[in-house]
Amino acid sequence: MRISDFSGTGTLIRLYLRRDRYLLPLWIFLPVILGLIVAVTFTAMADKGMQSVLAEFDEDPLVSAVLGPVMSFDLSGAIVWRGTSQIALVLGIGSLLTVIRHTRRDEETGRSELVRAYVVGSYANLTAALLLAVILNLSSGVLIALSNIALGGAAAGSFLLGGTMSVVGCFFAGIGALGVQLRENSGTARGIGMAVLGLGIVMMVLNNLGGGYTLLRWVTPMAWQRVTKPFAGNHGWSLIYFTAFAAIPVIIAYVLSARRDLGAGVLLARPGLPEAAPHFSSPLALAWRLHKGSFIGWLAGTVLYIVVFSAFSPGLSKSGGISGWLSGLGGTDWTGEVGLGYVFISIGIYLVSLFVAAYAITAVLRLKKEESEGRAEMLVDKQVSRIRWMSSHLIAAALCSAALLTATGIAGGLAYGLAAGDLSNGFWRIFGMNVSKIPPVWILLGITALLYGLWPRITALSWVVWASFGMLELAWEAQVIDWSLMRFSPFSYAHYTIDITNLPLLPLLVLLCLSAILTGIGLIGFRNRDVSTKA
Amino acid sequence: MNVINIQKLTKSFGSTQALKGVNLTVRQGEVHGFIGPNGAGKSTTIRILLGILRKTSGEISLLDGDPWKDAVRLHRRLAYVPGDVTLWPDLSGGEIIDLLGRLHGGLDVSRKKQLLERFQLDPAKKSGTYSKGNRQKVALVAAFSCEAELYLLDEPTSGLDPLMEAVFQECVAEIKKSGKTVLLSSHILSEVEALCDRVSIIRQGQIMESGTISQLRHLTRSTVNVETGTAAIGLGKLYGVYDMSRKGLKYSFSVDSDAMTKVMEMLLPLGIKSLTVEPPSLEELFMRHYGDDIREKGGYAR
Repeated sequence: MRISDFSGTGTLIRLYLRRDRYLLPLWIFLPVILGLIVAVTFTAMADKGMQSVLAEFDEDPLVSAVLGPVMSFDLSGAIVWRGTSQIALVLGIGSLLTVIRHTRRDEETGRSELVRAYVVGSYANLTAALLLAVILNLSSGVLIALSNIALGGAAAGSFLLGGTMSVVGCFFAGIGALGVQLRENSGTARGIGMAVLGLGIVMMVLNNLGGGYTLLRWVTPMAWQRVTKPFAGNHGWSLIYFTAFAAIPVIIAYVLSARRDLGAGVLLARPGLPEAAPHFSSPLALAWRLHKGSFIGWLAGTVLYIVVFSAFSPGLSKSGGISGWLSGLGGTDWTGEVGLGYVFISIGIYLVSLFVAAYAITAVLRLKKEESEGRAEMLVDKQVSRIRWMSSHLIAAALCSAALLTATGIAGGLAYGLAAGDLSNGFWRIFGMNVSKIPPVWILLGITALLYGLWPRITALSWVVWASFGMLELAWEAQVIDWSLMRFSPFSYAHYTIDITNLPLLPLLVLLCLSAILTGIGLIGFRNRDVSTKA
Repeated sequence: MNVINIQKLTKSFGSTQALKGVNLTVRQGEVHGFIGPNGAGKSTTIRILLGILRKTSGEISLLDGDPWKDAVRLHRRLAYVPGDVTLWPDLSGGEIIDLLGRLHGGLDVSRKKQLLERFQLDPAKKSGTYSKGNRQKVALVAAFSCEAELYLLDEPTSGLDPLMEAVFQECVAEIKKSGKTVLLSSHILSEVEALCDRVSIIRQGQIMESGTISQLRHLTRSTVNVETGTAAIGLGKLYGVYDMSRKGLKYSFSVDSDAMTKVMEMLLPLGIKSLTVEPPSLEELFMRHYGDDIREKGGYAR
């Protein structure tokens, strides 16, 4: 490593700041906003005083199983307790995507080749991308600290919280930097990053199930606040350890990057087939081929998540009392009879279904990528109508998302049934909880298809819709809105508060029809508009 | 019979008007060159012919059908090669060719193998590793292995080396021999000159000229080099004579086709010692059509 290996880093950082001038503020401010949302909801709930609200949650078996024990019984403690996992997730995703976008994505498109032909060192690109992620995380960390001080938190604890979150984000930047070294496409790097994030969440919940202070917290970024303990002892020295921990993937990334060619991965590309397999002869076959990789990744992730929690949750049932918080929410009151573990897994499946809906959106948006990158053009000049081309990806998206929920249903059902020692009953209930989420997931698929068919420029709106369904859920859980507003979310028709054995089927059928109508409008819209092509 | 018939075709993208009344006819069995500078509307016209873009107004027929309404039916009878081929990076070239052929409704396997050999393309490589020229070859092999009546080729040879360019020209000649029709949009004027029966020149969304290359030549100037016995006084001032230069009794100038008789009448009595007349190349035709624009903007001087 010589100084000249880094020449050009400064210029590249300025380039990246310029390219990310809209994206970077989003990743910086979103975690701050999430912290503020937690503050607002807790202030709204705390008419009896913050101390007693938090104490109530802390004693609630269900809530503390998911979120772990409260460390400090004031507003700052509430933000740490309820907000850190979301903030860690957002900073993690933001850091990953930022690093991948400026490293592997640039190599993939050939931009790096253009840049490297100038006076730019071999480590400049990686260094600039990582420094950009550090800028992102430090800015966000400082703003988190300042917003906590503004809300009345102690300065030391506030900065320790911000610092912890920054280090968590930097760890995932390192994971991104490591992931991009392995293969020649950015999709693999994103997959690796998302898998590590998912693993982090699973480990965080396992740590909480174990009481919040298991050894897992030392290697689980989403639980690092349980080591640094902001507002609850302020163990600031441990940040040094975590910084060293976050540096490990970065060091490996530097070593690997020196050993590979520009544009290549450490793992060499395998050759393809010289001729297509006989069945590879339709737009649907192509769509499946294009969706297969990410589908398998999602399948592994969701099944792992559901199986782990399905296997753990029957053990929770024996711990008496359910959840004052849950019965206070005003769904149905079946939860008292069935046991804590059953409700716990029910919530877990509900959350997974929200992420399966996100998968369905990304799967439909593959259409836009294929179109804007000029590959749709290569198909619709053949014996392929626009409707057939568009429906090939929609069918893939619908079947893959349904397959995810069916697979989690089967695997989760088996795991829960075996762990509970009541296979037939347990299996069908868990299976039902999973597959009943297919209609709401398909509603998001339909909305995305409609946007793509009619107004392809604003397909990002489907993410806004997805996020607002999530927000409805959060607002309802915080008792800011009541159930009638919650009904605007299609997920409420397969909600975890409704006993699966008594779930009304008619609304789900209506949702299925509605998603078919939305999709149909999208198809007609696409038939009647220009295909966008490369200039 | 006309395979393509376009009358007063316009296409707007929001406030920008890409095509401002294009008239284009392509006859059965001809290779029709479609030339024009970047952004003149060549690709837009071809994409309307493919039914990918919808016309704003005008008449357009393709193989006696409507390219927008009958797209799928018509696509059975045509093959298309885009100028900037994007492939699925994790599929091999061979897989993509087979897939495209099957979507066309069948591909001639022996012809495919022969074309892979002629274009020297390794079909087992993932297309993400292909260079620009190799990606172009994938689209060419797929299109030429398909049985079609009409081939729409939109700058099909961009990125090909001269050897491959020659293979491409052979392929088009074979297609023409079997009575098929080709619309070839291109920047490579030697390619158009070698292959095309007729040429249409498009500029700023309008067809400027259309005809055989020899017809187009009549519209422009030939270069004359002549040595006379006595001085040719006033030759440079003759109507239709341009760019006169003189070295002793050797004159070099360009002359409008319709002024040629007048010039010859003036030269004959002076005693012609040597004379060469070069017809304009397509390059010069092209430059004449677009040079004006560029000259006005001070970029190009001739």
